[in-house]
Amino acid sequence: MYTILDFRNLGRSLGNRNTMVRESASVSAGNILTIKGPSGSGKSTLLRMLARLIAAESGEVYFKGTYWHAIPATDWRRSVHYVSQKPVMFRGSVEDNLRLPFALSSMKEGPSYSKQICEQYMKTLDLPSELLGQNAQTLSGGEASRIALIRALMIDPTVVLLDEPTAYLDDENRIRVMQLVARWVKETPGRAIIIVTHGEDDLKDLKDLTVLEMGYSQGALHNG
Amino acid sequence: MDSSYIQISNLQLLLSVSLVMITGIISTLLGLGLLRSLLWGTVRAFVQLSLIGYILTYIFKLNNLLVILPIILLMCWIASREATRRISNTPGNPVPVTFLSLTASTFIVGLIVVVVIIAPQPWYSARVIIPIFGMLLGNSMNAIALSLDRLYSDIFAHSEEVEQLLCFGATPWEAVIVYVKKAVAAGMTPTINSLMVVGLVSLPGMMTGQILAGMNPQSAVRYQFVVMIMIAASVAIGCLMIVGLSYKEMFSQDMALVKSMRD
Repeated sequence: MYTILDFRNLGRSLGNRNTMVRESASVSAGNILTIKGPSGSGKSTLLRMLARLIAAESGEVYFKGTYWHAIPATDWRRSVHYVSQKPVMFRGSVEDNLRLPFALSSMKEGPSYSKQICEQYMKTLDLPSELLGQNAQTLSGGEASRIALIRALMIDPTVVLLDEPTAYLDDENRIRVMQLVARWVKETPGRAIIIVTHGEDDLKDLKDLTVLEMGYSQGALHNG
Repeated sequence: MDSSYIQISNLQLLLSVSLVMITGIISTLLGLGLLRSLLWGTVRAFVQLSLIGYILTYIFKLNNLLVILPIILLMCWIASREATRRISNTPGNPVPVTFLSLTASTFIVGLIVVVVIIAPQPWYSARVIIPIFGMLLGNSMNAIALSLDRLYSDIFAHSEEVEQLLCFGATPWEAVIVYVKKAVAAGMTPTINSLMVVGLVSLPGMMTGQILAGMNPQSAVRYQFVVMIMIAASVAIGCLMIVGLSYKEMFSQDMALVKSMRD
């Protein structure tokens, strides 16, 4: 299996604290990289750097061997897609939210919206299809996080960066989400996942797992 | 213009100051603590207006484009600083883009009005160009301040939505277009509202001034109509320009929201 995403010494200071994140790892097609570590160790910061939502102060990333800044940020973020821990729902119905990415110029060359695929994912995650007509602002945290995951998978990214995707879920739905994630990465060729999680239970359904343990790092960051 | 307009003598001017006492009494009775500011404001208004009266008399007499142009540019610069003074969360210095937007909108519309519609002789007549540009600037300044404030506060408040759109592969423009439209509308709404009620609820200052100065109300109305339409055009151009130029300041070179715009 070939390497899809490879980051080396990717680093950044964390807020005003005298701590920093500086990590190296890679993830191959069909594999999942799990990032573990205590709160405040910079797991989300690492994912946000990988999504190019915040700038890295050191290090570099390669996507299928291409240096990250050689790829336009808009293309990058669609291919290396970040799903935040707190699901973001826009005004309108759930279906409006699922359709939203397909109206963007960057999706002209990508897949088009398919209600059928959408309903399949919803069924897998125990969400009734009637939910599509509901106001997205009225969803519960658990429903919104599952819809956000479906929205992410539907735009067909190459790497999905999942920031604690089970944070709002009960045990049954946590298992459903992790099983869907495991199946997606196995059954869709050339895809990979990087997932931040606190729960050991989340990982027991996952195979071909690489674990990156993060801790607290003190001191200032030097480029290099 | 009718030459029989009623002049205000020094004594009458002094009498008008007695009106300040009404405001002063209200301020004192309610303990508003505004008396000192009120008196200082009255003195400043008198001195500033007297000075500008003398300066304008001199400039009108001189009527030289090389004097008029720097004065208008200085007015644009002061208006730019004033328009951005109370806006927080700005990632960079908003004065240069505000200056550019104000200057462009004022000059585009002002020159059309002065050269094509009013057509004084010479075309750069200070008596026409300075009041017209001044009115455009005053209105555009307020509209731009509203637009800019709305743009920054909306994007700051909705940074999670903006970042989510970026994650879908949206360009910065696609990510903020909703807020850009709202910001332009916020700047234009007061001007459009004033178009709706003029003559019914309010008689604008310029028209009132011309009538008091002896002009036939029908002629004053014509001037006022031109002025209101030109203000609306200038406000629209200014608001569009300011949001079009400002939204880029909120994104890094890598098309990510800059730190000061994130929660």
